[in-house]
Amino acid sequence: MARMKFLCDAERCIECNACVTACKNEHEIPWGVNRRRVVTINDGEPGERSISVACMHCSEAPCATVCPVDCFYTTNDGVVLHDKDICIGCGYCFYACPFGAPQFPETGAFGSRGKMDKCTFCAGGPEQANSSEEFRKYGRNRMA
Amino acid sequence: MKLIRTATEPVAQPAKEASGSAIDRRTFLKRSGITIGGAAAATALAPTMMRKAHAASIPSGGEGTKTVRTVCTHCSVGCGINAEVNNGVWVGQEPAFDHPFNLGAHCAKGASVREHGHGERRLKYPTKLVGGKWVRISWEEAINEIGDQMLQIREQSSPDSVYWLGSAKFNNEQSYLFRKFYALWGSNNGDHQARICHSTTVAGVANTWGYGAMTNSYNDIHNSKAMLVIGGNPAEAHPVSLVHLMRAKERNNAPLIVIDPRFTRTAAHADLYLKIRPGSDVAIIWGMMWHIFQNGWEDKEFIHQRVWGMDDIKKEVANWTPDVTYDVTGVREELVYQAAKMMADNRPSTFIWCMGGTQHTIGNNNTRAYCNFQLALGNMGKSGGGTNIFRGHDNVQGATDFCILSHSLPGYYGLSAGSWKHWSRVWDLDYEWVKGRFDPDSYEESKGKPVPAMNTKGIPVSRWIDGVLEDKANIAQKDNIRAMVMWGHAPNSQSRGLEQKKAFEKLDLLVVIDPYPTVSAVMHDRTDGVYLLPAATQFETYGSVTASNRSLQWRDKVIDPMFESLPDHTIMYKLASKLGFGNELTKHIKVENDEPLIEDITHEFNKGMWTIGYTGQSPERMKKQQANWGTFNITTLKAEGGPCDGEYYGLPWPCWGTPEMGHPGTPNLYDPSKPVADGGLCFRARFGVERNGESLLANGSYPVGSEIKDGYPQFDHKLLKQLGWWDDLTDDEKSAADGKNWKTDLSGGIQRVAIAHGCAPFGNAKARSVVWTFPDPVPVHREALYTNRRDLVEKYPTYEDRKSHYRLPTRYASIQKTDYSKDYPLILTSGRLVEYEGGGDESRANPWLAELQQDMFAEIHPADANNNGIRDGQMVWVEGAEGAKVKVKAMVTRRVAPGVVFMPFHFGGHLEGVDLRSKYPEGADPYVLGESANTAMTYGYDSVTQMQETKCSLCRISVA
Repeated sequence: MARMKFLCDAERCIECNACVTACKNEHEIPWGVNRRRVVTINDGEPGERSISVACMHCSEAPCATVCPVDCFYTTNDGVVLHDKDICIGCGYCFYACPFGAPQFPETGAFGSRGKMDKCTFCAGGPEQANSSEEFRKYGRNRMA
Repeated sequence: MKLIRTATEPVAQPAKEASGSAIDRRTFLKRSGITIGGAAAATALAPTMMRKAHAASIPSGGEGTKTVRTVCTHCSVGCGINAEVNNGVWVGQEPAFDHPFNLGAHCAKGASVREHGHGERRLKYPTKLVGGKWVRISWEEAINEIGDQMLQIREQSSPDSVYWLGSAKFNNEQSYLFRKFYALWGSNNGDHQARICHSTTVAGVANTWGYGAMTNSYNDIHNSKAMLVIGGNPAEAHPVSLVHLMRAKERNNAPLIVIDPRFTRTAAHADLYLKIRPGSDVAIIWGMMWHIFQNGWEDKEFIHQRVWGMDDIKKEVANWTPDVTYDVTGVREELVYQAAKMMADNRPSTFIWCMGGTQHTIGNNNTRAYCNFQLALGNMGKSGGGTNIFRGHDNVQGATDFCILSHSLPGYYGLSAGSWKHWSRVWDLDYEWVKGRFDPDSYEESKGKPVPAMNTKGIPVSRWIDGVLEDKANIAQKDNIRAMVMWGHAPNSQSRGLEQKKAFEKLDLLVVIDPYPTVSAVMHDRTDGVYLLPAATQFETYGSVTASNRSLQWRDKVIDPMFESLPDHTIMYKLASKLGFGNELTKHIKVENDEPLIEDITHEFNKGMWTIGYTGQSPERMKKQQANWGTFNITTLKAEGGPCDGEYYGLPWPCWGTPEMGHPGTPNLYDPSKPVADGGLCFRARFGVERNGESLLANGSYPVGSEIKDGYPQFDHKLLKQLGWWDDLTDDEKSAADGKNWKTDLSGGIQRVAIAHGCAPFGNAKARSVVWTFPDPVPVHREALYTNRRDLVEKYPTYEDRKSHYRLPTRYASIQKTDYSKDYPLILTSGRLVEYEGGGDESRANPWLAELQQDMFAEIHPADANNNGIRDGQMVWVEGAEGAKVKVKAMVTRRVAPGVVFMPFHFGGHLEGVDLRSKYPEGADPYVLGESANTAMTYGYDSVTQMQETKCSLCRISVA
C-alpha cells in the first residue's frame, strides 16, 4: 500500500514561500495558523539551506498517540487526519509533535486554543468529501 | 507534480476504519465523511479577519466552475494561472502546469492572487478628503470636480502643470491609451515605474546595439553554460526564474556566479560569490575584463565582425589592474579572475542584472559595462548567452514599450516633429490640432534654436517633487507642477520621502487611482484636495501584457470589477471626456458604457508600433496562443505542431510586419543563426553608417538566408529602390511606403519585402562600445554622491552640476564635495523581498503574504550592531545622510558586509516613527505597515535618465 509523503529538495528550495501561500489560499487558513512553513538554516551565510515543512504524517504519529480524546485517524495512505468536532483543544498533540504541525487558531472561549488545525495532506477530514462543511473545517479535499 | 482531480461520489459512512482493514485507498476516501452531531465548530475569526458570512457552499471544482486563463500580475516572468470561477466568484486557482514560462510553479505572490477576489482591504468607492476626513462620493462627482480643477490649472498654468504618473501594471492596451491620453492632454509630463527601475538599462543597452530589452528569455537560460547575476536577487524578485537557472545548473553543470553586496538567497545557490562594495559595478566588470583581455579570452572574430569601439574599452580596462580593482570593489584578485574565467570557459554564458546595477548616478555606465562584457566574450546573439535583463512589474516591459515616459512616444519614436506626425497619422488626428494642445512656448534651446515644450523631455517621476518644490524660474516649463495624478504608482518607491511629503502638501490637487489607497493617501498632512479613485486589478479586466522576454500574453477576465472599481481604460475615457478630448482619444475605438473596447486598442497600436515590432501581435493571434499555451517547447518556446505551429510563445517582439504576414516573433535578439523570417536578427543600424571614418555596419555577419551578405543601413523607400526590390511591393503598399522608411510605412510593406529577402528592416550594424552622445562615452567608474570612500572621490569624481536636465536643475559635484562620512559612516542600500512587491500596499493588504513579513527591518552586520549597542530584534533608528530617519527592527545578520546596512523598500504607513494607520480610509489600511526605506534615501540621479541612486547612500544607526 502506498504511503503519502511530502518530499522537498533542500538543494533547490529558495524560500519563496509559494508552498506556504498556496496552502493558505487553497484552504482559506486564518492568520496565525501555518500548516506549512519554510525552515531556513544558516540564514544569510554560505551553507544557507531551506526546506518546506508541514505535517510529516508519521507512521506512528506522536500526536495521535497522546491525544486524550482519540480524535486522530490514519487513512490507508498513511495520511494522519483528525476530527475537529471531537478535539478539545488541550494542546497535547502540539507538545508531542517534534515538527510543530498541530496549530491553534486561538478562537476558543477567552482566547483559548480552539480546535487544533494542521496539514491534512489535502485529504480533508471526516466530513463528507468535498462538502462545504468539510471545506469550512478542514479545507479542500484534493485527494477524493 | 500533476494534481489530478478524480470524480467524487460522497457516501455517508463511518469516519474511522481500523488500520489494516481490507478496503483499498480509493474506496476508503470515497466513503469518508459523516456529519457528526450538529455542533458546528466555532469559526469565529480574530477581529482583523472578520468577513461577511459565505453563501451556502463553496464548490471545489464542482459543477458550474469554469477555468479562466490569466497571467500573474506581480512580476515580469509572466506565470500562467488557471483561475477557477463559479457563479462570478473566484473560488480557486491552480498554476498552469502546461504554461511554458512557469511550468506549474509560482512564488508566494503568484500563489496568492486569488485574494484579489476577496479584496478585504481594497479601496471600494471614490473617496475625497474633506477637512481631514475621508468622504465617499460618486464617480460622477469625482470626475467632474477633478476635471474642473484640472481645466482651471491648464488655463492658468499650462497643461504641463498637471503630472500624469502612470503604471507598469496597466496592460498593453491601457498603457497605449494612457500615453495617448496625456499626449492629447498636451504635456510630456507623464512617466511610470520604469524610470526608477530599468531606465538606465533601456538607455544604455539600446544605445549600444539598438533595443534596450532582455535579449534572450528565461527559458533560453536552459542553454547557458554559465550564468552571472550582478545586482540582482532573482530568488526573491523573480523566484520562478530559478526554475530555469536551475535547469542550466543541473543539466549543463553551468556554474552560477553572483556579484552582490549581500549574500542573497540567490547567492546561497551560487557556485561563486563576489561581495562587492555598493556602487562599484563598473570597476568589477572592468576588473573582470582586465583578465579577459590579459588572457586573450575575448572573441576576436565576433568583435571584428559585430562590434565597434572595443579598443577604446580596452584602453580604459587597462587601468583596472587587480590591485586597483580590489581597492575600489573590495574583491580579491583570485575571485575576480575566477569569475572572468568561469564566464569565458563556459560559453555561451548569460549575464543577468537588476536594480543593483541600474539605480545609480552612473547607472547608464553600469549597464553599458555589462553589455561590453558580453560583447567581448562574443555571447551576444546566441542561445544560452545574451544580456538577460529581468524586468520588474508584470507589464513594465509593455508600459516602457508604449513609452509612458516623459521623453518619448510609443515605440521609442522620440518627441521630434516627425514622431508626432507619425503618431498623429496613426491616431487619425490633425497634427496641428495635436500640436495646439501643448504650451506653444519654448523653455529650452537646441543648437541655438528654441525648442517648444511639445518636443522637450518632460519631468521624470524621480524628480516630480522638484517639479513642485523648485523655484519655477529654474524649471524649463511655464509653471510648477500643481496637480499630481498617482495612477497605479506608489510614492514610497521614490527617494527623499520628507521632501515628497512637502511636495504632496504644496499641490493644489492630488488624485490617486489605484485598487488600494497607497501610501500617497497618508504620508502627508493635507486636509483637502485629495481624491482616491478605485481602479480594478488586471484580474477584473482583460488584455495583453508583455513579459520580460518580450513575449505578449493575453489575459482573460476572471471576475467583474469589485465594489465600485472601474478598469483603468474606463477611467481614462471618463476623464478624457470631461477634459474635452474623449472623442479624439477613441476616434477608432468602440466605446460601450464608457469602456473603450480593448481589441480595438490592440488593433490600433498594431498599426503604429513598427519600430519594435508590436505590429504582428493581433488580439486574434494572441488569444489563439493563450488557448494553446501547452503546445510550445519549453526551451525554444517554439510551437511544435498544433494550431500555433512554428510560432514562438508570445510572438516576442519584434514580431515584424502586419498580423497577416504571420511573423513568428523573435525569441532571442540579434541571433543570426536563423533567418529573420524565423526570428533571427542582427544588431540594429541606429547610429549612422560611419563614425570617425570607420564603418558602423556589420562586417561579414548577417542572418542566415540574407541576400545581402554584409552589413547594411536601415530600410527606407530609397534603399528598396536601389536594391531593385521596390516592385515586390503591392500597389497599396507602394502608395503607403513611398517617401517613408521601415518605421513610418503604415502598410508594413517595407518590412515585409526586406524580410522576404532575408534582411532585417532596421539594418545590420555593429554594436557600439562607445556611446559618443552620452556624458561618459566610454563607461567609467564614478563614486556615488554619498560615499564614505573620500580617498576615491578625487580620482573618480561625479559629474558637474547641471543647470537643466529633464527640465530641472540637477546636482552632482555640489553634493559630493561635502564629506558626510564622519556623521554617516555606514553604506545604506535597499532591495526586495519575495513576499511583497513595489511600494507594497497591495501585497501587504493580502493577509496570506502579510503574515510572512510583519515587521519592517534593517539588516545590520554583527560588527556594526556591536559598535552601536544594538541587539537583534531591537528597534533602531536608521538615519539617512540628508537627515531623514526611519524606525525599524534590527535584524543582525552576516548577510551584509560590515559597514553596509540593507533595508527592503516595500513598507509604508509609518513616517519617522509615527504610525499613520488612522489616516487610511476606514477598512482600506493594509494589514502590515512599516517605515518606507526611501524616506531615508537621498538625492542622486543618473546622468542620462534621471534614475534615482537608491543602491548606495550613507546612514548611521542608533538604538531607538
